[in-house]
This record gives sequence, structure tokens and C-alpha cells, in this order.
Amino acid sequence: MKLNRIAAALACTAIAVTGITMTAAAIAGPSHDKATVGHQAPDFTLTDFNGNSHTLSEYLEDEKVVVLEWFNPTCPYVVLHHDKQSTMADLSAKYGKENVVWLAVNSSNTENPGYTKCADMIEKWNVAYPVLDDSDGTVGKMYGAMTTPHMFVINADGVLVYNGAIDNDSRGNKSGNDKVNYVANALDELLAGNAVSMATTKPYGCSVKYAK
Amino acid sequence: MNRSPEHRPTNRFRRHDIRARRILAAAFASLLVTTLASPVHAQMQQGSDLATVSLKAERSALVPGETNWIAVHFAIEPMWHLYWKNPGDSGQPPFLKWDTPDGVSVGEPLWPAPLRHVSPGDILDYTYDHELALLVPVTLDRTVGPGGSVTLTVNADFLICKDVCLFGNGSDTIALTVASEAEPSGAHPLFERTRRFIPREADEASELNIETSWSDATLRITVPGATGLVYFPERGEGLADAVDLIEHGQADGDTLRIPFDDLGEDVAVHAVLTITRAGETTHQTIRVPTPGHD
Repeated sequence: MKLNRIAAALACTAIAVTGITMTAAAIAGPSHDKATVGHQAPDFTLTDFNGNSHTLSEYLEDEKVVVLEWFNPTCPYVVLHHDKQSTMADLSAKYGKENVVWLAVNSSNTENPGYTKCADMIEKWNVAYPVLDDSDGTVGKMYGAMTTPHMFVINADGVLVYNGAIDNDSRGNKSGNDKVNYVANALDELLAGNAVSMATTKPYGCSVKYAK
Repeated sequence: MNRSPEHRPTNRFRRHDIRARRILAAAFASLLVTTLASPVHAQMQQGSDLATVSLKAERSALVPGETNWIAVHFAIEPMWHLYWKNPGDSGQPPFLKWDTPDGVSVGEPLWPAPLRHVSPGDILDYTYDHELALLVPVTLDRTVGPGGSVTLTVNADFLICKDVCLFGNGSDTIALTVASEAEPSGAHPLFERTRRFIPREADEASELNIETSWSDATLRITVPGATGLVYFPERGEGLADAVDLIEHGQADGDTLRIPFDDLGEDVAVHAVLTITRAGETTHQTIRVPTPGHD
């Protein structure tokens, strides 16, 4: 009957279109095998230094904005933001009240002091958010994390909207209007329902100490 | 000092006594330092111990009306490295602060060509090991004349890394006479070997016949006769950023093909090339306008 043939034709077209779309996505995908601003942030599951498991997509299902902070407690730039200044503690606490999830990721290899001293430093600095063990470096490489700190902000739809430095103050001596915190600005814009205006900056810090 | 016999220790015990006292004093001092120093300060001291900063003058005196070259020398502990003015994917270059008297100006340093340093995770940095000498131009204004003396002090903050990174700090002071003429100083060999690593200016390269051409967003650089080329990008306002330099920033032979991402509003490419040619290595600055910005 005509209706069946029309339905069949429509179904075939739908399948074909889906196939083409999926192929297109697959072609577009590999050119961005690292997380790219404007695209879906890669999902991952990692265990924190207290043994608890964390999956990015579960936070996103709860419609949370997620901040990832690449972390190595022996790196002087991480010390700058956790000891000399309280940048990370202050921001994570402030934006935590706005449903923003803050996760630190440590991609140091297991032989590096950045890994072996991590549990002690988490305690010493009273880090109030999870520090995820990425010692085999898989997630760091998926995101293209180069430095500690290196910051990524993922919106509630799972799109990577910021990749770069925590701020413009690598020497830790700016103040007032000269000191710009890129992550705080990105979060403010997101929470106001706006696009992130400064989506990519060059991160500063020590190299991530990946496993060979 | 009281030299009467009853106050002088007997010879038999004297050497042991002094040595014991020194050991005790050192032990007490280090215990004090360890207890009082926060981990941050302890780290900084460790970093500072890994590179020794010293100032050297190229000539025996500063001469008014001429550019006088001073070297800020870092003697780097083996296995550790410092960073170039563009450190690469990670790291930070040394930061110099100067204390100079009135009438004396210190200009921007000349940076020797660095080395490529690739770490796991495809991290590409530009670094120095063993030593770094930054050459700094010093000029005197009319208020500083022959016969006087000038004291220069540099204070350098640096990031020094191996498998871990540390902040360090070092300073040095040099006092120089001001004279109408000067001769090479004892530090002349340092200047000679450093100058071989300072890239020549872009317009000093005519005999190399460097050819450049754009193909979409890829810059081809050919140095006829070269058997090896290494590319070191300079960063700055309006300068294009190359990508995939782990793969493309170094080549055997005479040609590099340097890919760029989105050229956008960038007006030029500035870079240093390390060129191996006819058995010799030279370092050359290149400046190439981006398409449409000639």
C-alpha cells in the first residue's frame, strides 16, 4: 500500500541521513582528539585520593558546571595558589554555592614527588574538593593538560567553554583591576546565562609530569 | 684577646674542641633553619642552590657614549634546566630586576638560542642546561663621566626544573669604573662563546638566501645547503602561533614546514632558526609577514 511505501521511503531516508550525520561527526571528531573549546568535553571516570569514584557525565546529568584544575602539589605555581594565595580554595567555595563542581586532577606519574606527596599535601592544605588520581595520564592527555595549574570549565550541557590559565598573574604580584581571574570571569558569565568571552588563554605553570 | 696561659686550651684538645664546636654550631643552625623555615622557604632555598647567578662585564670599564655589555650568568646544576624567553608549553623564563644608579640604563637582554625539550604527554619547552648567559646592554647618559664608578646589582627570580620544579632566586653586584676607553676583561671568553648562540638579526642573513612561502596556513622555510633546521617561535602581540611543533619544528635537510592554526588578525611570524650547514651551527632570527600583511 502507498502509505507503507512512503513510510518505508521515509525510514530509509532517515536512516541514510542519520548515517551521513554520524559519519560526519566521526570525521569531525578525530581532528579534535583532545578536548576543544566549543565541543563536548570528553567523559571520564577517576578515583580520588580518598578512594571515591567520580564520573564527569554524572555531574553533568545533575546539570552542574564543572571546573577541572590540573594539580601537582610540589609545583611552585600550585603552591602559589594553595599556600601563598588561597585562589583555588576561595573560588571553589564561592562558586560551590552556585552549584559549580570543582575537581582537581593529578596526572603526575606514580614515581614523581607530585604524586607521592599528594595525599599529605591535600591534608596539609585542607583541600576541600576531590583530587582525582590520573597517574597514568589518560585524562590529562584527553584534555591536553600541559601545566599545573591548567584550568578547564565545562558548562552544564557538557561543552568545554574555557581552557587556559587560572589568571593573568604568574608572578603572584598583581592587585586590583590589574589582576584578572579568567576562571572567575568565565563562571560569572556562565551563571548570568552568557557565553564565555575569553574562552582560551595560555596556561602557566610547571609541566604536567606524565608517565613515560 | 686574653692570651694568658690559664685561658688557652691545651694543644692536645684544641683541634678537637674547635671542630666539635663547629659541628655543634652547624647542627644547631641547620636545626634552627629547618624548624623555622616553612616548606615554601625551604623549597626556594633548594631552587636557589641549583643555579648560581653572577654578573660579568665584557670590558674593564664602562665607556660613555658606547653600548657596554654585561652578562647575567646562570651556572646551572647538571640535569636541571632554565627556560627561554618563550618557555614553550610550560615553564617560565628568568625574571631580572636591576638596581642601577642615576644616569645608567640597562636595556632588554639578548637571549641565546635554546634547546628543544620534549617531555611525556607531548609537552614541548625551550630550555637551557649547564649554563645561561643573558647579554644586557648598559648605557650611560651625559651625567656619568670618566673617572667615576658605577655599581650594578641584578636580582633574578627563576623557575628551575628537572622531574620537579622549584623557584629560585639569586643576585650579584658588580662595581665598574667609568673610563673613556676599555679593554676586554677576564670574562671575555664567556662573551665569545655566548655570542655564538645569540641569533643574528633578520636583516643580517642575506648570504643564507632563506626562502619562505605560505601555502594556506603552512609556512615553508628553506635554507639552501642546510642539513638540519630547528624552529623556535617567538611570542608576542600580533605574532602567529605555530602548532604541532613536536612533529614539524625540527627537520633534517633544508626545509621546515611550519603549520599554523587560525592566522586571524596575526600580522607576522617571528622565530629563531638553528641552522646546521656545512658542518657548522648558526642561529638566525626570521621575520615573515602573514599572507595579506606584506
